[in-house]
Amino acid sequence: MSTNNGAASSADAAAAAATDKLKQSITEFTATLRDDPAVIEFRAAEATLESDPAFARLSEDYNARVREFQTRQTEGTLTQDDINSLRELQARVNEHPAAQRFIAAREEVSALVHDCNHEISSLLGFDFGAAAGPRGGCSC
Amino acid sequence: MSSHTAVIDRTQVKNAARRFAEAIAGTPAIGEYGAAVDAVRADEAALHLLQQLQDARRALQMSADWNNDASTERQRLQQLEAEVEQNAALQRLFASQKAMIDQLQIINAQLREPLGFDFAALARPACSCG
Repeated sequence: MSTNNGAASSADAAAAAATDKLKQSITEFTATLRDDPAVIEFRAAEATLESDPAFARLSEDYNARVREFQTRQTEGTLTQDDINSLRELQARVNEHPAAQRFIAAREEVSALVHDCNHEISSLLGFDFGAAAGPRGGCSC
Repeated sequence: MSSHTAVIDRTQVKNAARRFAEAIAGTPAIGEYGAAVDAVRADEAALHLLQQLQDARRALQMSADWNNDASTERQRLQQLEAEVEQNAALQRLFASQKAMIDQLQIINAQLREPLGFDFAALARPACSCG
């Protein structure tokens, strides 16, 4: 009985040490990433985009138009004008300076995250991002 | 615009990523999964059953894709799934795999708060949306 208790407390101690090491490594990894220029720019670009009232209006218009588009598609009343109008609005969204800055920043940060994920996955022997990410769909 | 592109030294980030991976590898959930994988690899009956299960799933999927009557394939799959439920090595593998994925998702959530973005979601290959 005491041997079992000893083994259990030794396993508990090892698990606690592993948890501490993991916490420290998460703190170190996230702090290092947050100092990277790509992450700094991404966070700034995201904040700018979210606080831009003109972009918010444009984005609301676009989302409303998408819903309208889907309804008409379901009803079978979609016209070429609807398609052109949605494309035009999508282009305006994508061409907005704050959106362009955000898209470029997201590409940079994605490249950095891919590199880090490669390092992590090589050591673990499986794809960390695929295993730890949300199930199904894409990240858009 | 300058044609010179600044090269960022990412040695520190990569070193931190490696230490993070080492810490993940040291957790009991990952250790148990590795041990369960080794146990299945050393168990010919479990390996054979796993292979049969994968083949049966593929056969059922193909049959469904071709709109064929898949009742034979479905019955075969159910029979194999019942056998898998009785196989200790495979049960250990599936349970440890689930525990490991749960643990990895918790770790990813712990990254999300300080980073302000979802690391694992951004690590996925680009999709065709938008």
